[in-house]
Amino acid sequence: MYIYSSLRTLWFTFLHLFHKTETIQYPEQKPYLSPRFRGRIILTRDPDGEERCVSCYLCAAVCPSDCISLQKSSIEGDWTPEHFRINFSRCIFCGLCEEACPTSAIQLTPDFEMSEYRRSDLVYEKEHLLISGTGKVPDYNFYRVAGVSVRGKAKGEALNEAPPVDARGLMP
Amino acid sequence: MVKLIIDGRAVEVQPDQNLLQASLSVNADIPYFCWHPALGAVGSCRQCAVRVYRDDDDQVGQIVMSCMTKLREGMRVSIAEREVAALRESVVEMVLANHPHDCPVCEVGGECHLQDMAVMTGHSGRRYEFQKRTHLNQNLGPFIKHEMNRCIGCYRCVRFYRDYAGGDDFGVFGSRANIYFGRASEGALESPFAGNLVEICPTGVFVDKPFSKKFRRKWDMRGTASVCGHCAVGCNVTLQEREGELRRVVNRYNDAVNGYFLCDRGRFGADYVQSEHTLRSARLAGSAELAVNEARAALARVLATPDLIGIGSPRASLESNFALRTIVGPENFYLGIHDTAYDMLDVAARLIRSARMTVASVRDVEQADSVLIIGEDPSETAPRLALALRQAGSAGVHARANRNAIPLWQDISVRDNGCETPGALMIMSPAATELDDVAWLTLRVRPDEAIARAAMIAHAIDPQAPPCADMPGIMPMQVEQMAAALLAAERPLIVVGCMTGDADALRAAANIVEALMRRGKQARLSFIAPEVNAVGLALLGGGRMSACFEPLAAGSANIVVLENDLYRRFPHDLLDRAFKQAGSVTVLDHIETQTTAQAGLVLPVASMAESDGIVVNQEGRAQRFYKAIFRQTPSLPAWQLLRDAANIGDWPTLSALVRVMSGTVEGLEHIVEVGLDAAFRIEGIQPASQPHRYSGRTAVNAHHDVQEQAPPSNEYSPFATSMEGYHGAQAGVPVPFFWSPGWNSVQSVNKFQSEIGGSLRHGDEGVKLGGQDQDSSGYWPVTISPAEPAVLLFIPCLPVFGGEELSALSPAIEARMAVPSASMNIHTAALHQITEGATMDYVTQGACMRLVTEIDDHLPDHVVQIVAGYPGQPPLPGPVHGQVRHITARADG
Repeated sequence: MYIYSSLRTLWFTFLHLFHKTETIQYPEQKPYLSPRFRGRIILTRDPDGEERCVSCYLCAAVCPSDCISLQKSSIEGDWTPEHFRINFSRCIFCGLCEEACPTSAIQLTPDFEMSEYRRSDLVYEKEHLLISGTGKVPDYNFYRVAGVSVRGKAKGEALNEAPPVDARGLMP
Repeated sequence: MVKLIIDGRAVEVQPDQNLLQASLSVNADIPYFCWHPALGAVGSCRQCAVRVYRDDDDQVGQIVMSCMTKLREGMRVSIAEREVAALRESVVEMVLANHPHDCPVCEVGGECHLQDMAVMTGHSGRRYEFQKRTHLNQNLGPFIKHEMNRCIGCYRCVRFYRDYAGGDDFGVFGSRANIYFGRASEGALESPFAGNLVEICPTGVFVDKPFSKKFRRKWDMRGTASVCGHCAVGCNVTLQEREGELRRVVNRYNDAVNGYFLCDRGRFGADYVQSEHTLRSARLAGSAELAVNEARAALARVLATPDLIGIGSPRASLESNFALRTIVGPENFYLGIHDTAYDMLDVAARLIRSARMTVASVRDVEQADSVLIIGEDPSETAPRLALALRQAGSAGVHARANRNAIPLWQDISVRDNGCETPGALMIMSPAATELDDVAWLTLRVRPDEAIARAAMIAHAIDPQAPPCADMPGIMPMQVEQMAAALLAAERPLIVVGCMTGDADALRAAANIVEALMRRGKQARLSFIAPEVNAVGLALLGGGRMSACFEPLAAGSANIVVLENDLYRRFPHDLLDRAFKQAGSVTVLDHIETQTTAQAGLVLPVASMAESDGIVVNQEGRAQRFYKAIFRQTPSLPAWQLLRDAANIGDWPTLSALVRVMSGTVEGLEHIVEVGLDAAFRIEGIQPASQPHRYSGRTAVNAHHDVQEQAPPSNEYSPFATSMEGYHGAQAGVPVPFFWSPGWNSVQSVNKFQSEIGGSLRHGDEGVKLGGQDQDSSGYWPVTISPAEPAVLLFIPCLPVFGGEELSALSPAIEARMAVPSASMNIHTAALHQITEGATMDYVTQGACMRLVTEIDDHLPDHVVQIVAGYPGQPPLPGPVHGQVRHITARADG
């Protein structure tokens, strides 16, 4: 029995000689990573080129390693973050922030090459995180469906919204 | 008690509640929107449907709104029944049909009653596919942001604003699906209680505007139990802090004091702790900043000198005042308040010490059934108390409802049922007050006339009370009418404050209470003290300031001023002289004031938000506040700075100091029972002060140092400064944040109360001091000092916004401050040839104020009401005679 098991193992190992090889010559050769790979985190923009992040703090709240810190802008009516910081030396790339994000602003990308010699270099600020494009979600614009008025969109102009009611109207 | 069966569970509840309240009190959750414990039920939102069965045999039952249902012995109720649960879910679905898709950009998201109720009913998917209704917003001033799209039409806001708080500039417009809650035209909400709309609104229609600028979700802020420092009511607040910055102030429920509501001064006035006026570093006059060690050494040198004079402060903690008093010696300690306030507080302290006199808590005020206000406008000096007085004003309405067997929670029926006459409130004051609309009797009289009437009322109630000489213009019938109204009540209340500027007002008020008690009434007194710890300071005791200026005139004394801007209280020339004669002037404060500008040595100390301590409110309730803000370079509390500089070893900790204080000061024996000792532990662990979902711990400081810092430590408080520790209600532990599973909004306070709308399950905060003097019955002598006829009498008006020192330094409050003005009636104006809008010089001893004149025909003849207390204004501590001068061309030039 013991001999049979050893021989069988040797045989299967031998068979691997004829399998397709999975090893690639990284870093000269790059592996294919699917778009939903959970690597470096980015902040994206909406199709109009505005920042998508609305500082709702849900990513920070859901982060199990508490490595996201942000602050809503102090300008009235403006919800873009004043600062947005991710400490990648603490990030575990779980992707919960992406799942929690109601505006698809925060997304994980197939980039994992983030090694640094100093831990402090792994602290990314908003300018390091923000990209110019929409990332994986090409056409979602939160403000087009949300009922708040923002620059360039008045009340009643969002998707599926009636014009503002006239509280003084006498018509039934 | 009434027995109910809720979903098969037998429970016992208080009988005078509605079914919703009763169910919530036994932890049977029913979703609701429009009902509020303080506002009663109107049944407008249709959310709290339950099924009630007629008897044991009834298997069908009927669906009712639980908030509109009276309790019945043995009542069988089902909350979980399938059909009624589906109904509640459909109500939420319909409410959400027009609710905008904006929770991520809503400041209330995460602490939203609507979110909680949606989750509670189980509603999750939207089926309505048509257009959403939208509304335009209004600019409602610097306190409140309006986002009308979020409205669910529960009517809570108007019911609070108009019915409860008596505002009239906000209402509901439109009809059916068009209803709109707002003002007739844009503008700041006038009511000083508008800030409560933020907590009253079940969703995000009304949002705290200053908070929005430094916004954080509820779970991201450390909550600390504190006491509001802007008047002597001592409302309990929670200071919410993050990253060393005070983010917002929210109400902390205390049944005996503030209940569910705060005034806007308390809610929006705390930013003085981080404004441009905050004192951050020590300095010597004429030189640059001092390093911390040098400053402490300089203070030690001052405290080592022999001729020390200590000036205390009504806005500093009991501990700091006691430390200064001990260091300079009780005979050299002066209270730092004007003599008129001193005299009143002296009487007030004796009344609080008296075992016979009952000083009313805010809750008692609310429940009074006849109230006499003598010469005071509580809506200016103690806004939260004025809100309670407004509730007392509807005592007649409640009496009639009781007569007709209408339960008091049936809000609309109670209001429609009418009022017993007369009502409850009687006001004698020189100027119109915010409470006039609920008063059945308002007399516009000078302070001396008000005191004379008060003395006469006491004499009319009990002939043994000292009589009062007749004054012209007082009708005996009116006095008898007021006496009769007080005698007809069960729980009469007399309210008096410092606006009369005469301790005889308080003596006369005490005499009325004594007379009423002798006639078998449960009479109470409410004295409106001037500042947050004024009563504590009076109980501590010290000299009057006029006596302080005498040794100063002799020269060479070294003055130490504790957290006090004397230039707000005393004539400027008097102070300039005194400071010049003094050997040295040392000022410890947390804000820049005119006094710090004159001082030789200035040291920064911690404000109430940055330190621990005890303050005593107007009813003698000692309350503990805890350190809420932790800065990188913190200022020490004044008592600690003084202790270290004077090298006193008796007080290694705050608790040790409190023990020494309770042992040495008569009347403060029970102070050791106030608040928690720093060594307090629950099952060996500290209570936590951050919510368990506090975020960003490993990133918040990562741009400075990627290594995480330890949470700040506080050696004087038992609270852990992090989320680690005990979460949940415990006896004697002030709640750092109200939260309960499934209840993320402020409505979760329900889960902390012993009965809904009653006291907290583990007891309300604070220890009432006093009541130890047995031999204090008897009447006080009252002398009336009539105002000189036909000479102008200047009376101060202290506006809610700007009339108080600290809140006036807060940007939001600053935005609401009006231009100071002087008002008089048309006859007085004509007599002095003044036209409305004219700028005149109003001159009294030692001060000249150039003010715009307004005409106010409510004022009696020869009375000028002057807006006082604004930063930089000359002091006007009480009614004074003065004159008005036309500005000459030369003076203009």
